[in-house]
Amino acid sequence: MSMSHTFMKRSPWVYHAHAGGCNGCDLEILACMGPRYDFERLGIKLVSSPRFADILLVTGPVPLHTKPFLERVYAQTPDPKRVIAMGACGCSGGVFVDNENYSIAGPVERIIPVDVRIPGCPPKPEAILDGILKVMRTF
Amino acid sequence: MDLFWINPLIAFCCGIFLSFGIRKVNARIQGRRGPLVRVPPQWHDINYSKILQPLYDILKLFSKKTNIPATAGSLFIISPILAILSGILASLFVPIAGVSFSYSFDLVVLFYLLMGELLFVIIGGITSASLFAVIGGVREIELMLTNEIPFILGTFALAITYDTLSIQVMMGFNLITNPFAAIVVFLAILVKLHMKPFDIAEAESEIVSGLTTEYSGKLLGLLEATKVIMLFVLVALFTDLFLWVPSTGITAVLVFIAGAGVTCLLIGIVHSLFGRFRIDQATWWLFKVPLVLSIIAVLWAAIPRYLL
Repeated sequence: MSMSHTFMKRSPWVYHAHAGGCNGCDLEILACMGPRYDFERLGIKLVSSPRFADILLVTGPVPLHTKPFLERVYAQTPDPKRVIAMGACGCSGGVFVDNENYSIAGPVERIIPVDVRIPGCPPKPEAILDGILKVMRTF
Repeated sequence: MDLFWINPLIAFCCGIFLSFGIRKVNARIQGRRGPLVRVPPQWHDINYSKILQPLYDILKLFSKKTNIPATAGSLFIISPILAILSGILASLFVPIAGVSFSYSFDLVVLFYLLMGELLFVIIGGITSASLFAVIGGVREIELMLTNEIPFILGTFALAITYDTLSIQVMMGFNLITNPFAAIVVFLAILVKLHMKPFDIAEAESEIVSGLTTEYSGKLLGLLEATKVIMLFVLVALFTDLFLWVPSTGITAVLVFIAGAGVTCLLIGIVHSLFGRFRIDQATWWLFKVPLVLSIIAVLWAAIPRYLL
């Protein structure tokens, strides 16, 4: 393990990429930042631009019109980077899993490579923290 | 031997602790823990202590790849370097526990270096051709124009009292001799550091991150390091001008650390207690309150000198 990877692990900055979710997952991310599950304890920070980020936290089933934006956000994130697919929709498509659905571009893994999945609708804050810790340990 | 050449190093190292302190104060007021001083054993594979968190952020950014947008000009790359250079030069002129590169008019040079740092960040952001950066740049220039007058008048009130432009000579516990100047300079420091009532230029929820939106990797690391140095320079300037008790040797270091700690605590409390101004409210407020206070501060210093 090189020096740079140690620092990657010590200060992961997360960008929340919203890809057509229902806001359930987004509220749980906010709960992670609150007093109870405060993820700043470990230096994790929610940043506002994908150019600052190390980890992309993608929520939602990715509708067709969001697909190019998600690809662009992934391209804008500087290397080394990791992707977390969050929520039932992000992991598998959730209630939109039907293959004949005309407006869904698929779960996140069909569009960009995914490292860690956090299932749940929405996932608990403990689960989100656990997923971020797992992806931190892969750096 | 002159010790002033290690000032930039001290500025960077102490700036990291001050930055950590502000994050911790902010978190504690919001009822959170903030970056942990002692990490529990199950997370020891990540880290033992998070005291150096701002340093980890900067080193991580330096170990990342830098994406440069196709629309960006060459100033996009040059201006963060110039910004950190002006930050480093500014740290030479601020007395740290009484040690600085001092001569008879170093206060004026310090003004231009502090202004230069902001200008280089603005130029770099605007050349990225991102709309968010342009909006942020316009807001930053508006804030700078309204903020420089009270800042300069506030510090020049002390210059009138002591009849000098050298920071070394006008150092002292001037909170008592000119409280209006202290309030004005504190407000100006808040604006220069983008702390909460005045973080309009990098409002994360409106314009993505303002001027730094298109920066990534090593260039963003340079900008973060500049922020850390500027935090220390401005906190040290406030400590020197208003909270300094004349002393030498180890006492001077202790007095300086205590003053910087108090200033940092105040900045952290204001940062976490207030919401964000709108840009029109902020410019109007800066004209109403600090400008009037700074004129009172100048009169407070000038009237006893020339009338009595």
